[in-house]
Parts: sequence; structure tokens; C-alpha cells
Amino acid sequence: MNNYMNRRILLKGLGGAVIAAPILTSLFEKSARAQAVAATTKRCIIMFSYYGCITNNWFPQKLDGEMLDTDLKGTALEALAPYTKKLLMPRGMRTMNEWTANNKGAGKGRGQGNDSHTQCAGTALTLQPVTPNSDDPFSFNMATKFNATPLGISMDHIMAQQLSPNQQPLYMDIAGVKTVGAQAAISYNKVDPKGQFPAVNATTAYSQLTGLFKTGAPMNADTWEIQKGKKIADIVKGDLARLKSKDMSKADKDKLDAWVSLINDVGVAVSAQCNQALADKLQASSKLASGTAGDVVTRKIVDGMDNADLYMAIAALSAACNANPIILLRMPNNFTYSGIGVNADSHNQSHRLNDASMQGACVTGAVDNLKKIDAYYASKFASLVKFLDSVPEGDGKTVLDNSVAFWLNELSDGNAHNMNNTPLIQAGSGGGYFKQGKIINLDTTSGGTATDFLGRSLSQCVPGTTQTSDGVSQGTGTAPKFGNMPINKYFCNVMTSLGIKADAKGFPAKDGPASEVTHFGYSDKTEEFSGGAGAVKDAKIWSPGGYTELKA
Amino acid sequence: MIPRAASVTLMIAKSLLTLTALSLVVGCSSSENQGTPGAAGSAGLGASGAAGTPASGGGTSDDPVVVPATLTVAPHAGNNSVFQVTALTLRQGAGGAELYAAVKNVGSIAGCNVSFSVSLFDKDGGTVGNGISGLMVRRYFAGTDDSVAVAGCVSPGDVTMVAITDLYLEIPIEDVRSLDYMSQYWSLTKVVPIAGVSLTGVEAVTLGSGVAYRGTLVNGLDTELTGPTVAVFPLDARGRPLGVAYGGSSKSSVTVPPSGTWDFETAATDDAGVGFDAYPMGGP
Repeated sequence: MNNYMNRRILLKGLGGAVIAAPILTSLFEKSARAQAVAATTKRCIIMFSYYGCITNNWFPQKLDGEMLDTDLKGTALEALAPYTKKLLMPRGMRTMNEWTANNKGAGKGRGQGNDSHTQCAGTALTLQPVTPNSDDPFSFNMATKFNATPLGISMDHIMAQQLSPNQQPLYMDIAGVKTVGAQAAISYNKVDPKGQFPAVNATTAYSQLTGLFKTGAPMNADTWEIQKGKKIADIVKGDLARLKSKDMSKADKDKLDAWVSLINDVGVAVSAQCNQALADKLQASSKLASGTAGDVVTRKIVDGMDNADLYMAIAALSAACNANPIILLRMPNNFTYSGIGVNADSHNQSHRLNDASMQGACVTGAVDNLKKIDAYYASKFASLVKFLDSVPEGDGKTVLDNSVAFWLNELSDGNAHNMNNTPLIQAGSGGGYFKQGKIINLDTTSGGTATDFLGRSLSQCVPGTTQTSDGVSQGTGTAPKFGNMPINKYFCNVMTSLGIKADAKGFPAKDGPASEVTHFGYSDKTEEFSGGAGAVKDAKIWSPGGYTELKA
Repeated sequence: MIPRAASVTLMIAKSLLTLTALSLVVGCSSSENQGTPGAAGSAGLGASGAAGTPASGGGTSDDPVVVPATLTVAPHAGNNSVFQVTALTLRQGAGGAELYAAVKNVGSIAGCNVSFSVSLFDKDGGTVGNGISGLMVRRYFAGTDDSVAVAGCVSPGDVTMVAITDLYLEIPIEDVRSLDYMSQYWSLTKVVPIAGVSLTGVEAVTLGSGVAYRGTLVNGLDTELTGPTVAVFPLDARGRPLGVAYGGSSKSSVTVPPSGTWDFETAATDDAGVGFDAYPMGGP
């Protein structure tokens, strides 16, 4: 168990509730150990979504420079405009193991020939090839093509092994689905065909945080009180009052008050969910995620908060309480966001279609629907940022300042399945490691202009363009020569900012001697994934280290 | 509406008589990939390329035949795929839960490189399992430009098979209440049909360990095949796949040159049903 967990203050209710209060460093100010603990309390929150975006509308016009709120206005990221001073947008990167129609074995193409989603999802947070390999993008040998899994564990687990109390991340699926097939799985804690790590839903995550609403167990007295509308803070008021009476800094008092406000809001939200018709079925959100019971993601929980906001709030609580500093949030795949007026499957729409065929005559309105989804995701990331930034942590900082939260997409353009020019935005500086308030173009060698880096998502299926969606030609993807800086380096930045240890070669390693992660993944050249592991001779990390351009 | 197992049992006797009649009528037309046990090279259920045509039975023609009968099977809402399950088996295999399905292209376009994924739910609608594989193919197409070399596709009206032999499942099969499935595929336009890879002389043979399948794979491509395989699905009288018997291995060093052949024998299966449907290059 990490040292800082020994400093956790637990507030107990008479009816069984156990709630972890945030770290209040002033209570341990004279302890050098506590200072070291406070200094290393960093968190990483990853929000993951599928099927790319309408890049022309997602990216700001500005390619490099100060990020102003006006830069985000009119884009899919407009909801993040109030937070530009704490945002960082690294541009010009690519993720690894891209599927193309020309991926026909070692040295051919930009990755393996398995499947445009299986290999992309499997590689997203592992940066490892998947196995078994396919060298034929349209193979007729179907037995193993789609059920391929990565050859390494994912970044959330690598970080959790070093930082999380149980060496596991808090992995939440925003549609409440526990596990998904290989075409969508992103969290892997072991290397075997069934190494996918199960997600938890909001109720389970909240229960883990507070000891309330235990799945499958008889409801304890405190849960009943919450169901009747009593606030969380009232449940533990005895312990809370004793804690508040202690001599602490104003910063810690403010932090505690902010935490109380946040946990009460989330407590009310969960209580409202439990009072609904499906409240006694704690897996109801899983059922809804299948599409048989509507749009569970955008379903309103309480005023001003939908289901996805609830997950963001729980993520912020977990971060603020240091219950688990490594958090992964997964937006659903193949989802119908009817709650925001998108009455079609998100994957089909990413191909500008209304069926599963991946190319054909464009469907009217698909591009507008995709823009709605992009904006919705951005609004949820903004919720996360807001919640994280609402909890002070002393010295004028907030939990957000001591965190690295980033939104990563599986693809750049969903129709093209391209992975260059990856849309990624970060919030928080990781305790001062990262620059903030910046848009930084990392691709300064390809000669791409700001227009080039907006991509070509609007080159098909909008008025004035071809009305045939062609996913094979990758015509809606950013031109291949732009935006190919490896994301491996960015992940090295993130892990180093969190204090992840590394071995002598610079790969993440628990109890490793090195304090800087310089190597992550199988290779930082997507072409070296072609043919699968070992097929391209001497595949390796060619450009070790993080991006110095991103460092404060 | 899902037909009850009891009514299916009653109908099997009737369907066997029908099956025999079909064999006599179409025996000469040599649908090489399908057959009845013990009848070498004879045709079995359904028309060419379509296995599992219901001989008779309860329920409407749109209802899939499902075992266990308590399982509700439905397409994932919004997927809008042309591929529809016509029959499905969820069973416990030696290595864990397994799923086999007969899937029909009910649309007007061919689908190529078709993925097939399932999510399984308990009585409360909670997800308790998932799996993914690809639909078997017998039709081959070559690209007219460089974008596609050879693709395997399922044409409109065709019924094909899928096997998920490593299903992830957290609860006993009898506690699974529903399942939804979805597909993604390419509707390729710049392709023309070619001979591809085919099977000939497929027959069931009874061994001490069960029923295996023998035959010959023919490489009609102009490129060498490496690691040839075959997948044979034993079927019940309604075309429901009962399991799969694999022959060969994609990891083997066996090669089949263009126009070459490869004689195969699958592993034995303990439930041979009343017919079978065989696919080239369908094994792991």
C-alpha cells in the first residue's frame, strides 16, 4: 500500500457508511513524510471514446500558441472554453497500429491487417500489437481475425500497479457495461485472450468509495437514510464535526468544505437513480447500454447532471479522496445517443451511414450527428474538469492542478480509420509538470499548415462533396503525411509526471531505479506493427523520452 | 417467439423424412460443402450456399431456432446489419462456453469480412459475457483495383455459420437470459467474383471418438495458401449448428499451391446432428 494511504481519514456513519475524507496536509504539516506524500499525490484520469471525430470541427483553427477561449468557440470543444488556462492540446500526434486496406504483412502498410477496430482499441493504451495477427485486411480466414488481443497490459494498469492501493485502476464504463468484445476492449491487466479487465458502473464505484449501496448485500441503515434524501455529510456528521474541529489551514478547511459539497451532490444523484423504477436492479445501466432500454448515458439523473456527469463526479471524488489515483472512463461503443437527438448507431454514423456496411451512399444528417456526439463528449470532459477543479488542495492549487486528465479517441476520423492527427486534449498540469493554456504543434517537420491539420472529415457526405462514403480510400482522414508524431512520447510525459518508476532501459517498472519513463510500447512507428509482433526486424522505440515541448 | 425445445424434438422426426427426400432429389447437384452423415458427397439441407433451411417446425419463419430455449436472441438495436441469426446454440464446451450460430444475409448487398460479436445478459439485464468472431465464407471476390486483393463475402440470401469457441462468460449458461449480436462488414463495390478456395468430397466418417469429416480443399486462387484449415458445422434438422469440427491449423507450415489440393480430416465431434455445413479456411 502506498504511504499516503496511511494518512487517509475515514469518516464513519452509525449505519455502516465508511467514507474517505480528502488528504488534509496541514494536519500533518510537521511530518516530512507527509510532505513527501502530499508532493507525490498525483492522479491520472483518462476519458476514452470511439470512432474519431469530425476533425474540421473538433480542432481549433490555431495550430500552435496560447489557447484562448475564443479558439474553442464554434468548435466541438466549446464547452471547455472556460477552462483554457488549465488545458493543453498537443497536436500532430498519431496513435499506433492503424488499419488500412494495404496492411498486407511485415513492412506493408501502417499496421496489422486484423480489423479496423480490434487492433486500434487493443493498441490504444497498450501500444502493443494484437495477437493472433492477420496479414489480410479483408481476409477470408475469419476464425481469429477479430478476436485478437494485445501483447501487453494497458497503461492504466501499468500506472495503477505503482500508484493504486490495490494495484488496479478505477475503470468505469459510462454505459454500465462490464466487459466488451475485442473490437472495443481497452483495459487489459494480463496478456492472454481473456485478459480484459472488467469495468464497474457508477453505483459500484460509489459504493467502493463510501461503503454505501453495496451490490448484492442487504441495504445498510445509512443507505436507507440516503435513499430518503439525507445527505452524505449528515450520515457521518459526528466524525465530520470532529474532523472540522481540528486545527487545520484555511486551504484545508476550504478543501474539506468543497469535498463535502461535492460528495453531497453525488450522494443525492445516486439516491435519485436508486429511487427510479429500475433502482432495485443495480445492473440496469448495463441493460440500457445494450440499446434495449434507451440511452442510459445521457439519461438525466438530477437537474444539471446526466448519467455521464455522474461518472465524472465519481471520478473526481476518487481523485480528490485519493481512493484511486488512476481512473479510466470509457464512453460506449456502438451506441445510440437518442438523448441528444442522434437516433442512429454511433459507429454507423462515423461512416456517414445508417447501417453496418462501412461504405455506401451517405445518410443525410450523419455529419451533423457526429458533431453533436463530439460536442457531447467535450461537455462531459468539461464536467470532469469542473469537478476536479472544484476541490482545492492548498497553495492555491486544486485537484485538477495535481492531475493529468486527458481525452483520447480511438481514431482520428472514424470513416477513414486513420490514426494520424489524433484528437487529444488534456486538462491539469500534473503538479506543474506540463505547460497549460497552450496549443502545441509537435509536428514541425511535415510542413503541414493549420488547414492541413484540420483534416478532411468534411470531404465526403456534406453538400458540395461526394455523396458516397468510402471507408477504404481513407479520403476523410487527415492526409497521411501530417500528424505522425508518436503518442508513445506523450504517454512517457504523463507517466513521468505522475512519478512512475522505470527500469534501466526506461520502460515503466515497479520499484525501478529510474524516475523518468522514456520508453513505452512495442514501437513508436506504426509501420513496425505490420505483420504482428516480431515481423518487422528490430522494431523498437526510435525516439525515447517525453516531449520537452510540453513540459513547463 | 422462441420455439420450445419440445416442439423441435417432435418436428425432428418429420424433418428427417423430408431430409431423405431432399437427398434423393438433389444428390446429383453436388453441393460439396453440405451433407448427411455417412452419405459421401451428397447434398443435405437447403439450397447451394444456404445451410439450415428449416425443414419444418414451430414458430414463425422469422424466429431463430435457439438452444437453450430460455435464451432470447435479438440484434443489437441500431446496428442495422443485413445479417440475421436464424439459429443459435449456446453450450458448455470442454474449454468453456461456446456459441454457434447460423446467420443469413437478409439484405440486398453482399457483406465482406464480416465480424460477428455478441453480448450476453443475465435476468436483470446486466452484461455477463461477450465474444467475437467472423462469419464463414465460401464466396470469394477479387478487387478490380489495388484496394482489395481477395475478400471473402456472404451474398444476399446466403446462410453462413459462425463459431465463438472462447466466449467470455461470468455465470452458468442456464442463467443467461438474453443475448444481442451485431455485425460490421464491408460492402465492397470494386470487386468481381472468383473461384477462390473450395471443398470437395466432404463426408462424415464415424470414428471411435465420434464423427469426423474428410474431404479435399482446392486452392482456386492464384496465390499459395499457407496453413489451410477447414471448419465443419454439424447441424440439426433445422439447420442449427451444434458445434464445430476443425481440420488443419493456420499456424502449420502446410502450403497449397495455386490449383493444388489438400486432403483433410477434422477432429471428431460427439454430436454429428443430421447434416453438416463445411467451410474452407474457417479454422484457427
